[in-house]
Amino acid sequence: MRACVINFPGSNCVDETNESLLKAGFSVDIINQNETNLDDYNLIVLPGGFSWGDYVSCGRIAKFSPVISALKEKIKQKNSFILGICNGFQILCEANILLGALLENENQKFILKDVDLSFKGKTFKLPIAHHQGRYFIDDINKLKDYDLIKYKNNPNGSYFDIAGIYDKKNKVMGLMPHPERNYITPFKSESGKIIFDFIKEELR
Amino acid sequence: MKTFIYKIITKLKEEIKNPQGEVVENIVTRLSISQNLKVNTGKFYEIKITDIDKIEADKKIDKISKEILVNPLVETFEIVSVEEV
Repeated sequence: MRACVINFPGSNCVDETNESLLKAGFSVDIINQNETNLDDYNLIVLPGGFSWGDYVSCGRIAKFSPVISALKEKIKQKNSFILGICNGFQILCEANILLGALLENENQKFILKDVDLSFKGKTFKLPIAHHQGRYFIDDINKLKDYDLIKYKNNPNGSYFDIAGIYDKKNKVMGLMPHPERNYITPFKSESGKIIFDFIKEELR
Repeated sequence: MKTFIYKIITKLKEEIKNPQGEVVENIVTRLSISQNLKVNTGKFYEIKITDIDKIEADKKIDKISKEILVNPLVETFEIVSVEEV
């Protein structure tokens, strides 16, 4: 299966995302924000980082990229999986590809730590590293067709303890924790594999 | 062509918890300056724009504000002044 990682100006998790996808068995291309042809890819990943310096707000400027227009068309074809990690999640929300918004952490701090999560009956630990990860949605019922990745101990004030969301219909996932960091770091639990295995299952 | 300077404030919607505002409220209370205040925070933009007339400039500033300066789910904007220069 083929994957691509979108390297926006300011993305800084491209290498570890690339390594994780290779480890998960994907062939990987690294593309940039001007790419408009996504036909060849089963999985498209928006990595973590600080696209366009996070100016105005995280993900705000990246949503105007040509690749985001191409992504919206690709989603309509329903033959792929889209994954936004951290800044990638922020971009997907800003672009209205996923519902909700990400606000500054309640404690006003950059939080860097491993957190306990639950997703589809599994519990596991993944690292978070963000300043603007407080997920907001005005009505939880809007997420009734979504699967939720939830914090056990909400670190940032996210509404409904939400760490990530999965739009099952369109196969689009956004999450603040970093499965790619955990998956390739020696001595860690490799629980990021849970997310990559889930994606592979969804693509079958 | 005419040139205008727009001053625009963006802020979180009032119903959304604003931790920066709460920090200011807490310190004001702790310093016994006031016990009764509500603080919201936001950003300030000053945009100088040249266009055929004010109607066209208004339209563009509205588009810039709605699409770039705020996320309408969580933020609002207000044009606090417009000045022709």
